[in-house]
Amino acid sequence: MTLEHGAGITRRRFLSRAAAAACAGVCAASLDCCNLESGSEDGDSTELAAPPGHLRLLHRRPMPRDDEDAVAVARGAEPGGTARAAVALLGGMAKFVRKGDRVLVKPNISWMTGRHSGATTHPGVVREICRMAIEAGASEVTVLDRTCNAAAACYSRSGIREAAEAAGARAPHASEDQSDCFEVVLPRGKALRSWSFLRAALESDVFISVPVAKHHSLTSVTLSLKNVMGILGGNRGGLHRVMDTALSDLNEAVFPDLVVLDASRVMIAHGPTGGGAGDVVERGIVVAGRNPVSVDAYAVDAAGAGLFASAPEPVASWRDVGHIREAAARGLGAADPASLRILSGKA
Amino acid sequence: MRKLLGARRVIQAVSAALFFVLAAAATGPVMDASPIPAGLYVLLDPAAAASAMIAARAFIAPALLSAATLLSAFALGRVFCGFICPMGTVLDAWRGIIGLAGRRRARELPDWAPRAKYAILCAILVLAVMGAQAYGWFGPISIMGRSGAFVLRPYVELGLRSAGVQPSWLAGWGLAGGEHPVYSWGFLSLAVLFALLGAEVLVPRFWCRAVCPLGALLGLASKFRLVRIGFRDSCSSCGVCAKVCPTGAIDPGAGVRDSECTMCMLCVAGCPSSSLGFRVSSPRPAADGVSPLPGRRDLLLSVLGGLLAAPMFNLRGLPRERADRTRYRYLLRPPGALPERGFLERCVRCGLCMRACPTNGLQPLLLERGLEAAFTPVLVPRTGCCELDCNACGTACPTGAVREIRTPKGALKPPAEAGPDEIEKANEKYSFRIGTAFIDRSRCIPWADGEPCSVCEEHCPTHDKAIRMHEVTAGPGPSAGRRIKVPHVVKTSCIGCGTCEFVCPLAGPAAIRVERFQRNVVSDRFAK
Repeated sequence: MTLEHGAGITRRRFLSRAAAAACAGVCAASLDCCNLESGSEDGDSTELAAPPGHLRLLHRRPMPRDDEDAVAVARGAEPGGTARAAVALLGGMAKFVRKGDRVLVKPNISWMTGRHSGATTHPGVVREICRMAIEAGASEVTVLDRTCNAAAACYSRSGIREAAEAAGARAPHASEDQSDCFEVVLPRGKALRSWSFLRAALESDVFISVPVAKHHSLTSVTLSLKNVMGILGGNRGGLHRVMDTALSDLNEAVFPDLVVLDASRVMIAHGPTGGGAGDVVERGIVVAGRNPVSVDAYAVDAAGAGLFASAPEPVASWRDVGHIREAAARGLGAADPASLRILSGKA
Repeated sequence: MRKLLGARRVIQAVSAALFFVLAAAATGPVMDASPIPAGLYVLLDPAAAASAMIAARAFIAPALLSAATLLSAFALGRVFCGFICPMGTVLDAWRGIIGLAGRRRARELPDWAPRAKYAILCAILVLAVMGAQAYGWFGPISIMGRSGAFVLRPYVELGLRSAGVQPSWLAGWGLAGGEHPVYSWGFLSLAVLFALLGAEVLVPRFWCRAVCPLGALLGLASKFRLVRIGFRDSCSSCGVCAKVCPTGAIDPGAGVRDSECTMCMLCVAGCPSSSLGFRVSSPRPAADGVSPLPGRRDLLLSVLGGLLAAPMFNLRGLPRERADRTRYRYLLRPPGALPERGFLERCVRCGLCMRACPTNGLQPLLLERGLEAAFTPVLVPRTGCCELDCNACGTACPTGAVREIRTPKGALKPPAEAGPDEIEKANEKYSFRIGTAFIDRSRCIPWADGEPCSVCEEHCPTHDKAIRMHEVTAGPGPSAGRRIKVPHVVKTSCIGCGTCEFVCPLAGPAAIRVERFQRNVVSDRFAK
């Protein structure tokens, strides 16, 4: 098959031109059209799949929850050692992490204001929790948070990347891309029918929540119940309309196995970012427990005579905090300090 | 001779790789000042230096580095084009890929084509004299810089992401962050690349021969070069050299056109009788009689062209206050950017600031703000905000159009010990305000719907919270009469970083938008 010169094109030329055109199209599309994919705006049309098996956090084995009412309070000058002491009071990490477990450690890494700002979990606490998980036989420890500022800066300036890697854990950035999230059905949800969670978080067996105690302009305080926000995908800002109810909905679905609340220093004003003079006070406290409702309620009410009792806008009781009140009312955990078993110790 | 060719290719590859690696590292580790001179190649470009310094009427000290390139042309001719320029290397590599290297004879360009680049250079310099910066349209380093940022970077990110590669050290440099960077007009950079590569198929090094203003400047210097390629008496006039020359620099029978020769040495290596070699000659233009240099008429035309184009940009000395008032409402320049006039004059549109911006918030303009602002950076907070402690753009900018400002780099003392004055002193963004946020109460959730929302206030990074919540009674609607907290912008504290606009949970445009700095609000220091 030969074509007269100039009369047409050969097969080879046709193919190569077609390939080139396709390449050009793909190139152009991948450069500019990626901002067109907007995801589904209305949750109603989202088809909700049953969770696949590798999202282990959604299929986890029932853990013995005997110490549900125990809240440990440790004091010490060095936050890492204090965290270790608090977990030891609860019976040690081996109670929560078994050999071969994949562990998710979820500190607050939201802000890039640096480790001194008190806006993020103290790196020493993260380091000790990771170490303890590895000592308990964890096969993999992942430190993860969906940050508010640019992730690289948050992870580094908070000191948490360094701390996690020093302890032998991984500290990947969270990707909120739809393909990296999974829409979790919230059958008992009152404000939300479903919400997307980070797959990277759901792929773990054990969920250790390591929040930092802070004032919060909307929810008045941010402790462990609100810490779940960091493993969410989707437009988190949209939750603020119904925050108190949404937090219970979300915590019902993905409940932490262990809560270690860093109150080594507490942001008492201008939260959750802070950065102003006098926003942060040294407290030297770490509160640990099984149940986020109990830990949060105890932190507000009693830890160090109430972490926010002396704040410019003081919060004296968990009953003044909408989302703790709602979580307690919905039976997520015991909140009344009288019903809790308090274990205190020193680092 | 083959060895020389190999050496050239190695140098080209290393140089192009260095160009792209430097640009890739522009963010600096964790947004702190980059120790790497990301803009090295811009500083090596004497045409960019001339255009920026003339247009801005300013002395840009680092750009003196470009004198080295100019000197190299006086000594060795257009070696920059043949060895260093990333554009030349990409074109050479492309020719190699499509199999035209050395095989096809350089198609003859019409006589005017090699002279066109001088006209372009001349017009750019005339525009610069008029105070208009047009170099970004034609500067090879600028074009390659933008291609690297807008075209290559998304692919690199996509590749790293697909491969699941996210090492922390790379993430620290603003790469492999998990987010797919998007640039408005990115496809246009791709189209320009395609056009260049397409032209390369028709005429080897078409860009370098007919368009490149930097090539023109170096070509002029090459006329006086010390080392040139010359014929020996053994030449049999077989014409092989003219056939292999990718830039059409050899006029069979007449000699080598010094201003076109990039010292690629293909002719020297290809000559069957080894009749071509290097020759040191006194720097006399007389030695080169065949270079297609611009005639008086060409120059006159290009000067006229430049003068005619100038009003399309902007004329130095013409008041522009009124135009600025309306056209520039959302024109948010990076922190540290010079006042608009000076910024436009100095910026050579290399794209490094936009590459460096770790949030992807700095986006290129095209024609939205006129010809004069094409390819300059603008902060689009909905895409990415300006992080309080970050100064990646100022560190990356090679010409000082966006100057470096003081930021604490996350190393500030504990806030309990740092007073507000100290905090503001440690971060120049508090005195350099990009803009001011304004709330659209008809869209804002608490204002319009009486429902709680305070995401903007929560995220506001200023130490004294430029957004504060204030309780009011909700207006008509389902929540009528309910007490609700609504946001207010404290204009004396707002630095215009756009964090609020970025995080506003509304779909589409935010209910809080940063506008260009309002001169009547705080101070007119950076008003323009």
